[in-house]
Amino acid sequence: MELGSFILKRLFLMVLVIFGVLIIVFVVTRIIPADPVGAILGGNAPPSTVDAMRHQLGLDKSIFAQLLDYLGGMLRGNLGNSLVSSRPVITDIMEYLPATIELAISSILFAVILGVLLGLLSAVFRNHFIDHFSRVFSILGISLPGFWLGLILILIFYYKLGWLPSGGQYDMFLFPTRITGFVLLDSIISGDWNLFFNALKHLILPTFILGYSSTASIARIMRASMLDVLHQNYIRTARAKGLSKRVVILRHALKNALIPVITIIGLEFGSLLSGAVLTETIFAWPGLGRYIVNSLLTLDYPAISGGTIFIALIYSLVNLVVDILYAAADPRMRS
Amino acid sequence: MNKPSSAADVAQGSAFQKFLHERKPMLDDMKHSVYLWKKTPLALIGTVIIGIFLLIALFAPLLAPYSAVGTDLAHKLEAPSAAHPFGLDQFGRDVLSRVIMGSRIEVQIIFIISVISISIGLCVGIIAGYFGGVVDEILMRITDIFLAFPRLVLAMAFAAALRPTLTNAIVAISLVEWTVYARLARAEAIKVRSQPYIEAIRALGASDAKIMFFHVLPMSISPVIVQLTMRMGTIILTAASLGFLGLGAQPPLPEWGAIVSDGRSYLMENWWITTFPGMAIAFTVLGFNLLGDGIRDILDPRIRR
Amino acid sequence: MRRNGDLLDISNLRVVFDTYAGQVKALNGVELWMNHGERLSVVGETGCGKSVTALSIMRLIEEPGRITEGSIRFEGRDLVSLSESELNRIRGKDIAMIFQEPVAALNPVMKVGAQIVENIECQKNAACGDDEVRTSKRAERAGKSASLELMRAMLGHVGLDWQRTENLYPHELSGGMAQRVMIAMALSSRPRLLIADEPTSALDVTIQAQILNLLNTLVRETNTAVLLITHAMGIAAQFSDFIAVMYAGNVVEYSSVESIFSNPLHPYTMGLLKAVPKIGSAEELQSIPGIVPDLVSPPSGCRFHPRCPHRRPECDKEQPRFEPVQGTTEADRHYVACFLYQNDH
Repeated sequence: MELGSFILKRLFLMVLVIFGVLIIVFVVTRIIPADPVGAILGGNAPPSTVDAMRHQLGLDKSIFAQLLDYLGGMLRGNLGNSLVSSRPVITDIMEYLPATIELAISSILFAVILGVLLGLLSAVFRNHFIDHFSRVFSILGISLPGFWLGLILILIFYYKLGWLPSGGQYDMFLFPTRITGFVLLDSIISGDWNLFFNALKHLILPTFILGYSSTASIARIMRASMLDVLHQNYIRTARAKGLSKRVVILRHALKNALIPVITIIGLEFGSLLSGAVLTETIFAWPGLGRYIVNSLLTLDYPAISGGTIFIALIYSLVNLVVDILYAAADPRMRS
Repeated sequence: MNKPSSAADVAQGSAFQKFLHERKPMLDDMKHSVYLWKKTPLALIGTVIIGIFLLIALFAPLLAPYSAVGTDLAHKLEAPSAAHPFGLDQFGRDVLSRVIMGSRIEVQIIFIISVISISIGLCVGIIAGYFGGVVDEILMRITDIFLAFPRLVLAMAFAAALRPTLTNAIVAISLVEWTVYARLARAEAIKVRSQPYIEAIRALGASDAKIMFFHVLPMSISPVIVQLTMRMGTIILTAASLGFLGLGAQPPLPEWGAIVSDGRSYLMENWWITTFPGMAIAFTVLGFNLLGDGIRDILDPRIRR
Repeated sequence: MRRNGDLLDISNLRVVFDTYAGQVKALNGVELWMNHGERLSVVGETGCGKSVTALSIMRLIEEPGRITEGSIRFEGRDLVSLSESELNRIRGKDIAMIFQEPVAALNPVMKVGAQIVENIECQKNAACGDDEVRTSKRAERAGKSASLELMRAMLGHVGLDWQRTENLYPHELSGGMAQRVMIAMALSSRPRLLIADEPTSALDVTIQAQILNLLNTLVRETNTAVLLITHAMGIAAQFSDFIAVMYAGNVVEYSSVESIFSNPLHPYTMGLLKAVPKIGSAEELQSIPGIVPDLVSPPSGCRFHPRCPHRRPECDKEQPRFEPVQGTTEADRHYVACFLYQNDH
């Protein structure tokens, strides 16, 4: 199958799934026992105010009409207004999204680079020191709870050693000029190097905590994949052609070994989004994850539904991209 | 009981002997698995750790030196000592006792989640795989929708929607976990339904329900159980994460994630409240992961000789 | 007579594999030789060590296998003592190899044209990662187009249309096409020795004949010597000048094709020939009694003695020497390792 038609088919499936997601979120937020109006106004509001609020929130219409309203709003990008901030949810999301993206990108880069490297070295130098170290590192990576490790590292690096900050994206007394919303980019664009390095320091621990378990997964898959590839017949052919070990590994083995790793990266991005929730909470990172947690704890329903839909959308898009990359990398997959 | 030495002997032997003889290939396979398991250090260490964990949970009330919920404000926030190896928390409770009793909660959590998620997963998967066609498509799209969310986020949303309690957190995680087993069960169902002997049984008048229950189900259970063991670590971490965020067990339940969260405000001066329950989580998850790795190695056809 | 192997001379080659089940003594003192332009077939059952021998020549035996003793002289140089980088200058250039399952032997994510070009570029060493030789960027670019031309010429030589083939991936090729690609790749460097490890065993019978004929034509043009590994006596007889029969890690008989068929000496060879069905004959097929030995604890002395109908008392005490048969000529080169024919001098 051509790569183009493959992409179209997957896009169509994705749209179907997103539609289903919207329906589910709608259903979940409407069948919950708690009454949002009661949550906003408190228990002792006079009936007329309750009715007025109910009307304002559109809760007095039939369930079907509410569904149509909701879907119509979605298509227009209207996710409702946050009960906590009274702003459109979409505005809230757009404000916090860049911070999460910055963290996610930095973590996935960290995880892929370190993970692929460790997995590669582990396979090539099987049963040597680097292999043992990498395997221990990896199994701890998927076993240690991220939220706990984060706190322990804050304890060590902030409380005891004072080397790294304990949270936030940058120090409180620095004011970034907001151009793109991405602090690192903005600081470079506006030439504020002080802010840049400050933001980098703040990025270190969250990146490590968020990326650690992904690094572990990637390293493990890379190791297994590499060991598998190194036993294949075409590696023997490559060596019979007189290619040096380094060329055989980097040009022949690596390309083939990376293929399963690509799917894992997609899966890892999903767990990265999950993990972002915890990491942002611990490090007070002003991102989408923390926004969602706060919305959940304050029962801010529009924000909860808007936020989860948004995350589902991002997650599906990333999976789509990964599927496309996978088909592009492995010609056998296209047919 | 004497082992029958020939087919003729078996024919004359008891029904039980016949049963064993018919299942000989499967029993031999299991014996070989156990042999390999004994030879795999990872699997053994993992099993030992899990064993310790289960024993602690079983004998928790006997092992815990003090009450897990009784407060003693006169002695709050004391550092670890001989009398209190894990120290005291902000309410004067012995952290060690809380951790020990918390193991019971963890066992509860993983047990119930396992039962619920496997049940739903097997049902959905077997029905989808067995009937195929439209039923399959619909069920798979539903599964896709659940898979469109990062797992923790979905579990969090469910937990919040259902109001944060331990029970609801367990339900929430189960609602997210079943998809994995559904896929596996479906694959097995597809494999089984195309076997010739299924056609034969159907010709003899067996109903779909009977076939699904007596033939597809036994084949599907084993890969699902294996996958469950390998995912147990993730399940525990998810449950602890919900507890940490306040979306799971509510105070004063000594759930490990919740205790870690408790200790967060006291991290600087009273590090022990956070450290020890977290180590308990890490230790238990490590045990399951080691066992899972070992199982995966044992099942690897290249090593199984 | 003195044996002369001015192209390849393997002497007392011993290879073991350390497995968890014990040490497999795969090669037990293999003796083999060839001259330039000759064709030698190594025949034997599965597990007799013929592939291990072939891989050992190229020093492609990996952990847990290793060469414990012996020499492999290629044009006088002992390959066993060479370093990895020196070996890489010989592999793919002076000695080339083709394998049994051609589609699996090609890199799945690289176009086949590019894989052939890689071998051609490797001739200059710069593309092989050998840091001692560096070419200038301009020379590299000039070389690239020459390489492309050579690749296309080679594809044409093996009977493939380069325009359609060079951009295909290995999984898009049939077995026969893939083997042609491998042959093109191997012969692109004009090697003096081509090792073919069961090149047609995985192919259909009609394709087998095509490939063998192709090979025949091509190597005749370039006077390339061919070491053919096969389990089929028929193929060996058709294709080669000389045959070496292997059993359980040893070459038990070696001679010209005519001599082996007209005058098989080793009991194993005789057994093999009797087991081949002859069209038109209603004779009962005779199989060799017993089973292939366990190479972890092989039989003592001559490894064939437990199954040999002509067993003598000395057969289980020591290994028979690999010696020329009395009265054999240069043309026949008949050698055998059997106490029945030992010249005691």
